[in-house]
Amino acid sequence: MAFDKKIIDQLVAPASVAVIGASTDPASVGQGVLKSLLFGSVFEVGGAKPFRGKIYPVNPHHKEVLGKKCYPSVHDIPGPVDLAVVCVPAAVVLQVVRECGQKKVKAVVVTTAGFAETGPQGRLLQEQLVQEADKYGMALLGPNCLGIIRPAESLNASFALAAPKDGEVAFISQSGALSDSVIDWAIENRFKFSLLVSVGNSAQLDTTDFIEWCETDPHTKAIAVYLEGLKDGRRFMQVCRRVSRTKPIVLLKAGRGAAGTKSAGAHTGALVGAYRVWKAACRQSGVVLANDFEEMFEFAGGLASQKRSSHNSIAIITNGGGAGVLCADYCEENGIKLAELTEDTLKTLESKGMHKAYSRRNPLDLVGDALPERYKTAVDTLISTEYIGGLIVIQTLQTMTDTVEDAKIVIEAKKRFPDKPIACVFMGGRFTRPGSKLLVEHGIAEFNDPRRAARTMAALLGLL
Amino acid sequence: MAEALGYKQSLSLLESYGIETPVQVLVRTSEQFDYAIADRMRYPLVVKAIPLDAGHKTEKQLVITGLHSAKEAKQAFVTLTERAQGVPLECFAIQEQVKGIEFIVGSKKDDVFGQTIMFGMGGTYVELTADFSVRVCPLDAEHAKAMLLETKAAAFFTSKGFRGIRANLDATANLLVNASRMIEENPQICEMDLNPVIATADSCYAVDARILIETHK
Repeated sequence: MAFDKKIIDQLVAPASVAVIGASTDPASVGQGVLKSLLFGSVFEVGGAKPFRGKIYPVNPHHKEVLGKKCYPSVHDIPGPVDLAVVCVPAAVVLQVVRECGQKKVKAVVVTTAGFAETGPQGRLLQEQLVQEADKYGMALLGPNCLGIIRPAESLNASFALAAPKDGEVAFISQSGALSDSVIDWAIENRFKFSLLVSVGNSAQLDTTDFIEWCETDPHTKAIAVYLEGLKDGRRFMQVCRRVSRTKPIVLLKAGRGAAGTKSAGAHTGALVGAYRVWKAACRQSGVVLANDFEEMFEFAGGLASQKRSSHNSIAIITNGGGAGVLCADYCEENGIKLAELTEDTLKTLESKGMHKAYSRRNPLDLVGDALPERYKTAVDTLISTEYIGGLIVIQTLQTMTDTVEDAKIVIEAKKRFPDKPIACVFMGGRFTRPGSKLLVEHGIAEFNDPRRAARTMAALLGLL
Repeated sequence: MAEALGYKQSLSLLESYGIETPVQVLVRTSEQFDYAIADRMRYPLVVKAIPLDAGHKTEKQLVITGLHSAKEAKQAFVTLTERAQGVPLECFAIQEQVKGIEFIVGSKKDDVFGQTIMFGMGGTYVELTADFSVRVCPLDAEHAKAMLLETKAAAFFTSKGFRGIRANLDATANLLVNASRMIEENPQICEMDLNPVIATADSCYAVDARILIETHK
């Protein structure tokens, strides 16, 4: 169906939610969804808030679930219902969705599995489900999905174990189970989301619809997508080409199958595998391809907090030679050009105070005993130099290293030059954490590994 | 299911989209052959036997190149007739040989993205080198040029060429754009090899074509 922004608005910002199949069984999906709505999160995490709108459990077998009055069917709910989360067995989904239509419910999330993913019979059932939703003009998410989470609305219409915090990255996932683990990871790593949606079988609304919706979502600054398959590749490209101009899109594509198909003996068929076509399609539509989950969120986080730049001329600042050389290697591998420092730049650096043994070239090795003053000289001088487009700042941990002060220097520099991307590598663990935490809080990409910093810098420079 | 378009049909399809092919004459009999080479074709010539079920002509040794006289050409015809015994033939093709750099231009209809186009180095050896670029169609001249320049073939498209050997960037990009337009406007084409495509300092020709058409199951 053609994209209608309003139809997704109903899913993302409902005033009332019914949970159909709400159950007294703590192990059921129905109870999971109800808990998510009532408490914001099934597992206790700081900051999760209950849904502010009306919540209606529906189940003909119960009078009450989790202390809430339970209705035999949606028809028995006194007021209007914007969103219904359907957690009933596949055999009765159609009936329940029809009742939602009659009740003028605006959007349904079908968590139930047992549709197109199971074979021809399930496919037929799924087609009927879409017909039913379309007939009543209802938005349909799923089936076979985890649900939708919108932290800004305190809406957790899912059976995820917990809710992430409100942030700037939208995550659109074709896998519900992976979304669950991503949420747990996000909580542990202080990663935040503007929207988390599990599209399941994408029977009606699909990944492309949500990408398109994010274009005008004020909460979303970057879009992360986990995708296995897609029906309409051309529409995906057309939408991404437009959306990626304002909101960076990062894609992790599963099911790469390197080999091409064996066909009637033509070379091209054997050579051009499906993932090569995906790579081409992404490149043609401004989508950044990530290699793994961590990268997807590193890229999305980096692209949400910093502006993209096309000025591919980067300087590496380090207090350790090895880390600098490694980083230079990774830069080269990813197409990042290292700026050649001019005599003028070197003179300025020396006049402000460099170690006698400093490297005099890029990567700029400040030598291991560098105190914050030397970092400040290097960071301030290089970021304000016109021919340098961005910085990778590496800090190895020596006894005299002051990670918090070093972080502040980078943060100040970024404030003065917001158009120049910065990635930091504060290598270490427990004792570098205060500095790296500060950087992340100020929207500066920070990594424990020069390779990952180089990759994110490449993403910021539009090289991937 | 797919079946290959005949050689003659393939040529006229290419020509209708402005894709240049070498000067050539298609003949079926020995008499027609004699008449054709007595005409004003420019040597050296290439003679190809075109099987009805068009496979890889090189592997079946149904192509003989570098023919510098009518006598050599006729000998090639006799040799190919022998080699092709038992193989039903569509025709013989007598082509003026183009001297230049061999590329491959291919297409494949992807399940998700539809028509895609590929450019690679090295004609016959492309499966070994795996040096090729891919785009989803349609393609404009600027993107076509980017496709050419991201392969190792880029060296041939510089003003100095590679060891003095040059390929014409505009002509080759133009062939890609035309091929892209052709497959977009003919969605029944599910796969295509223009192999080799030979580029010279001034032009670019599709020297052989294999076009697969979807047939309904």
